[in-house]
Amino acid sequence: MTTSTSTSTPTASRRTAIVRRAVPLALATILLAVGLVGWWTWFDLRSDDPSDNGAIIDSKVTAQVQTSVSQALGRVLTYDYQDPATTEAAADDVLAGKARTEYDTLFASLQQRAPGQQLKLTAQVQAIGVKELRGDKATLLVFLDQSSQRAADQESSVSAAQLAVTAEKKGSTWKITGLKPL
Amino acid sequence: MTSQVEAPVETAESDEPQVPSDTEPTTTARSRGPWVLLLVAALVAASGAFMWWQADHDPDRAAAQTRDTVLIEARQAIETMNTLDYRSVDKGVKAWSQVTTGTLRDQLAGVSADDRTLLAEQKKISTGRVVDAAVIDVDDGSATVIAAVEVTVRDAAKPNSEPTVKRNRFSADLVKVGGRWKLESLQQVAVSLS
Repeated sequence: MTTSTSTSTPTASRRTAIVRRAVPLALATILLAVGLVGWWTWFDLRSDDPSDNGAIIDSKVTAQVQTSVSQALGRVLTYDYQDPATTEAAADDVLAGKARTEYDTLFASLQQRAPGQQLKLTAQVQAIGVKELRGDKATLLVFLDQSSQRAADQESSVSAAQLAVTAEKKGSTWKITGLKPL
Repeated sequence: MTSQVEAPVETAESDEPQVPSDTEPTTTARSRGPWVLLLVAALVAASGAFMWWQADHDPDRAAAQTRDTVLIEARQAIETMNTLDYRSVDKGVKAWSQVTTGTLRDQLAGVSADDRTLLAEQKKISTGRVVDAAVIDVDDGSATVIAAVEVTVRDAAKPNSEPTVKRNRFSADLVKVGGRWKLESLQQVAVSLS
C-alpha cells in the first residue's frame, strides 16, 4: 500500500528512470544477440571447413608431397638384377609402416626370380594428384608407367598402373605408408 | 550482472524514500549498470560480427570449396562420358553434350545419324565408374583433374558372355560455364616412358 501514497512527481521520475534503464537494456540485448549469432556462425563454419584439407590450397606442401612421392615411387619400383642393393636402400629411405612390410614381401619374390631372368624394372610417375592433405598425412592418386626387360629371353613390356598412395611426414621428409593398385 | 543491477532497484522502489546519504551510491550503480552491460554487449557484437565476416571471407575456404565442387562434378562428367547404352544412343549422346563444352562439345555434336545407327547396332552397354580421382590444379574458372576409370562393357548380342572390364587413366580439363564445371577435354593418359 505504500506505493499508492506516492505523489505524481516520483512516478514521473521513476518512469524516466525505467526508460533510461530499458533503452540500454534493449540495445544490449540486440547487440548480444548479433554477437552471439556471429560467434555461432564462425564456430559452425569452422567445424566443417573444407580448407581443413590443404590439398592444392596449401600449394607449397602439396608440391612437396608430390615431388617426394614421385621420386620415392621411381626409386623403389626401379630395379636392376645386377644392383638390387640400390633399390633396397631406397626402400629403407622412402617407405614406412605397412607399405614397408608389403614391399619386403614383393622384394623377396623379386630377388628369387630376377637373377635367372636377368630382370630390369623401370618406373616413372606420369601424373600425380594430392587428394587430401591434413597435417602430416596425405593421400594421393598416382598414374605410374612401368616397364620390364628380361635380358634372358629378350622379353620386354610396358604397363600403365594406377595407385592410391598414402604418405606421412616423418621428420623433414614425406614417406610412403600405403600403396594400393587400383 | 542483471540481478545485481535489479536487486538494489527493487528495494529502492518498494521502500519509502530513504535518507539521501543511503540512496546516493544506489543511484550511481543503477545508472552505470546498464551502460556497462551495453559496453560488454557492444564488444560481443563487434567481435562476433568480425569473426562472422572473417569466416565468410576466408579465401582458403572458398578455394577449398571450389576444389571439392570440381572433383564431384568432374567425376560425374567423366562417368557420363564413359557410359552409353545401345538402346538409348540419342539420350547418351545428349548427356555427353550436356557435360562438355568448347571443342569437345563441338566434336560430339558431329556424331552423325550414321554413327548413331552404328552405335545402336553394336549392341553394347558401357558403364563408366570413377574408381579414384584427384584435382591437380584449380582456379576460379578452370581446373585439371585426373581419374582412374573402370569401364564395364556388356555385349547384348551375346547375353551369356561375361562383361569385359577395362581400366583407363584419364586427364580432364574443365571450365566453369554458367555455374557448372564442364569438360573441355578428356584424354587417356598413355604410357610414355622416357
